[in-house]
Order: sequence, then C-alpha cells, then structure tokens
Amino acid sequence: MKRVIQKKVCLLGDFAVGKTSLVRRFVEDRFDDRYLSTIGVKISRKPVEMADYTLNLLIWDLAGGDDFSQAGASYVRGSVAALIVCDLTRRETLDSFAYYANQMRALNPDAVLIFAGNKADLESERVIDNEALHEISLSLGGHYLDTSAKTGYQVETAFQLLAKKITV
Amino acid sequence: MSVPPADFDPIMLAAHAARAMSQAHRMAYAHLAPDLTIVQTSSNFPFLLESQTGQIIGLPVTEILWEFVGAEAALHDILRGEIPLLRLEQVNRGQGEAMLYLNFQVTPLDAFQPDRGLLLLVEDETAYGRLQQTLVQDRNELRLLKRKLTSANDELRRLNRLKSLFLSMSAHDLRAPLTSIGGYASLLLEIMSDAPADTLKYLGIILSQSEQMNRIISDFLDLDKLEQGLLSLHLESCDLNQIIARVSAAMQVVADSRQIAIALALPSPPLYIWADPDKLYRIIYNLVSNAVKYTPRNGRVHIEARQSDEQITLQVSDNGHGMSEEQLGNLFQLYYRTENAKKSKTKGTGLGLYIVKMLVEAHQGHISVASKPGAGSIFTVTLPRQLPDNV
Repeated sequence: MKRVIQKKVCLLGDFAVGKTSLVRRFVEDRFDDRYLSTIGVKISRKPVEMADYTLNLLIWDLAGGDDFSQAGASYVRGSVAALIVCDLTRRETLDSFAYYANQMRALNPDAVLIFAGNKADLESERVIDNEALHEISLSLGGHYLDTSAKTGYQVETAFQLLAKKITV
Repeated sequence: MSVPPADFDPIMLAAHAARAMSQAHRMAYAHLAPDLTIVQTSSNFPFLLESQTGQIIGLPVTEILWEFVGAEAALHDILRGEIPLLRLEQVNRGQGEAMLYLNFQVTPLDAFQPDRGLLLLVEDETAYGRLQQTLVQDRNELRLLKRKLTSANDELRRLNRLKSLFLSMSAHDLRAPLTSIGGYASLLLEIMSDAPADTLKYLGIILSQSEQMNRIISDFLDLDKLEQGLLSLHLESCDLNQIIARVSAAMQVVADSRQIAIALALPSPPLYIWADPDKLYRIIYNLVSNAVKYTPRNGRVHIEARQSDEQITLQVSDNGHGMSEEQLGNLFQLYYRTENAKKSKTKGTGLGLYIVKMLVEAHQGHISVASKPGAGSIFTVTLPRQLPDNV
C-alpha cells in the first residue's frame, strides 16, 4: 500500500482572478459562472497519485486583494507551495505576482511557486501577453502556464506540476 | 429571612459558566497533548465541526482538522513557549447556505508550563462571517463594475477622437468643392443676369443649397468642438443690430418665397455687446432660420432686441404651429425634432437649437422658450454685455 503524505499548498492572487473556480475545477471538476467572494480561507483536499506515494494536497484558497493583506501571513505559514494566479483580462492583477511571491517566500523560503494566468478562454478580452507572464514568473522563481477554470484548460496540469515539484 | 450563601465548588462553577458560554456563543474546545493528539473535547466539539469521524480522542489533531496540517511547527513553538498563540480566522466549512465561518485559536493549557499541552478553542462566527462576505462581495463587484466603466469610457473616448478626426477630415474635403460650387453659382448669377428666369432660379437654388450644406458642416464641426470642450470664443465688441440685420437679409429670400414677413424691432443706437461675432451670428441665424422654416405660408417672424445696464435681450417670435409642454422639455436635446418638424417637408438635423443653447451658455447667457400649440413660439436669449476675461 502506498504511503499517504499530506501537504499544505496555497492559492494566492487578487480578488476575482478565479482562485476558487480553479480549486473547484480541480477538486470537483465543475465550474460555476457566478462570482462569490471568498473571505478568510476555504480548505479543500485532493489526493494526487505519485509514483510511490499518494500526495494529499490540502489547498488553501485564500481571500485576495486587501483581504489577504489583513490576515494572509498567518494563513500561508507552513505551506510548501503556492499557485499564484492573475486574471489575463485585468493587467493590474499581474502586478500583484511579486507581492504574493514575496509574502510566500518570506514565511516559507523553500516554497515551490507556480504562476497561472486564468480566464484564458476569454481570448478577445486578454490584455497580458505570454512573454511578459513568462518573464515575470521566471524572475520570481516559478513556472508559468495559462489556465481556464471555465473550460478546465491546464488546470489539472498546473496542480500536477505543483505536486511534482513538492519534495516529500 | 436571610438565605445562606450557596457553597459551590469553584471548579464546578467555572465549568457551568464555560458550558453556558459555549452554548450561547457556539464555542467548543479540545485539549491537545504535547504530541498533538486530542485528549478530550467539549461535548459539542464534533457537532460544531460537523465531524464525520466517530471516535476522535487519541487521534492527531491534523487528522480531524486539515486546518492544522502544516501548522505543526507553530503548535510546537507554542509548546516551547516561543509564541503565545496560533489563530486562524474565518475558516470556511461547508458550502452555499450551509457555509460556516469558524475561528480557531490555540494557546497553552497552562501559560506558566506551556509544554503540558494545548487548548484549542473553536468559535462559530457564521453570522458575522456572512455579513462580512456580503460586504466584501458588494465591494468587489463595485470595483469590477468601476473597472468596466473606466474601460468602456476609455474606449468611448478613443472612438470619439476617431470620430472627430474623421469629421474634420471630411469637413475639409467637402468644403473645398462646396466653395467652388457656391462660388461659380454666384459668379454665374452675376454674369448671366439677363438669362431666362428658370436658369436664374436654378442657379439660385444651387447657391442656397451649397450654403445650406456649408452650415450643416459648420454645425457638425461646432458640435464636435462643444462636446470635446474645445470651443473657443474670439471676443470683441460687436454691434448686435448689425448682426441681426445681416441674418434678416440672408433669410429674406427664403422668407419671401413663402410669403413670410420678417419684422425687426431694434433700438436706434447700436447695441454693443462683447461677444464672438461669428458665434453670435450662428445663434441668431439658427433661431431665425428655425422660425422661418416652421412658420406656415403668410406667417410672421418678429425679431426684437433691447438692452438694460448689464444685459442684452434678444427675442425671436413667430406665429407658427407652436409646441406642447412635452416638446418644449426636449427642445434643446441633441438630435431632437418635434413630431411636426418630422412630418413637415422641412429638412433638419436636430442640431440647431442644441448648438444655439451651447453657444449662448458659452457666452454665459441664457435661452428660454415660451410656446403653446397653435399659438406660435417666442425664443428669448439674454446675454451679458460684458464678459469676464477668462471666458
């Protein structure tokens, strides 16, 4: 029987970038168009099968924006990784990548960081190009990928990549 | 009769008080051993957490509460007395209507001997959490809406700039041939004064229509400038009587063709006013032109001007169809035309009165209209005789 390991990971990003939708797509494989602001933290669990162990990802979906800065630090402590998300249709959400990455690294210096540009399905409204996204993500020490919680595009890939990079 | 004091055991009293408080405030607690296993809990602990696990005593707290996975180091810090507490606020549990908002707080059981174990307090703050969620939701939706509006405004501004560019280029391109048409028609009228009456009539039509097109182009250009706040006034001392006379002369041919009498009532000394003469001409021309256009054959248009110490009043009245209250309310709206105007054969853009109002206001003046169906209309413009330098 494979051993089971539990690890805490965080979802970070400005409000309304689609963090909760990404978790819902990954854990429950469904999508809801309504926007419901998260306050505090919602924790979901999803087992990811690795070669010789099962990794239970405990995903902390945290409130974004101003609401993160109030209590965020106490929540991210003890996380081994973070998926930092921006909204490809709102340029200002990319500017927050560095803030969340620094917050995460300040408390968890070895944390794995993956960056995601969500809402890739809204192609005509996209305002951030891939070159800028890759460049910023690399400079902050993480991989980047486009995602769409709505269509499911690369959502599984993003979390699998996160799981793969977590050292157990 | 005196009642002897109750002899309660202080520990029992504290336990009763704790139970009453936990029921009133939906709080629960658990005692954690130094190895972070659950030693004992309040009876409501599993209910508050909606725990599906049967027996929880003896299990590691991280198995019962995912919230503490990753927090083991912090819990050991408390046991070593290195930090006083760990607090997690507004932890969401459940979904939708059944969502609970819980606060967790872990402190040493004994502050003087923190390594003896930990006290985990769970507090249900759902009522407050739901209220806060509603506030945050509204705030975030407003921010998104504001952003959308800003972005839509930026796009509108961009389109407006394109429209202005298109308008000025078109106006320039249209004006050149119009000037030629009008100029040659005017020349032909001069050199062919003995031509047949029909020829002269047709040349007159060509000339007046080219002038009309020129005025429409001017209206559009003025409108564009007004909308962009770029209209500038070239102020100088103007003789209002002279401008009224010029307008009257320009309208005479059209008025004569429909047997409409234009009567002037102007004071004998010149009426000097500090204004932009071209814009003043446009104001008066548009008002008189409207009056002539919408007055039936054999009607009458009356232009009157008078002055007081500080202002000049200009009135243009007619005995045309008049307008209802509702029509008067919309008269100065952009592109508005009354039903009568639309039904009549008279062509119009609905720009004239809007531009008049804007130009009057640019001169810090005021325009009003009095009218009744079947009783004609009176347009009254008041303008200050002097304008401050910064206009």
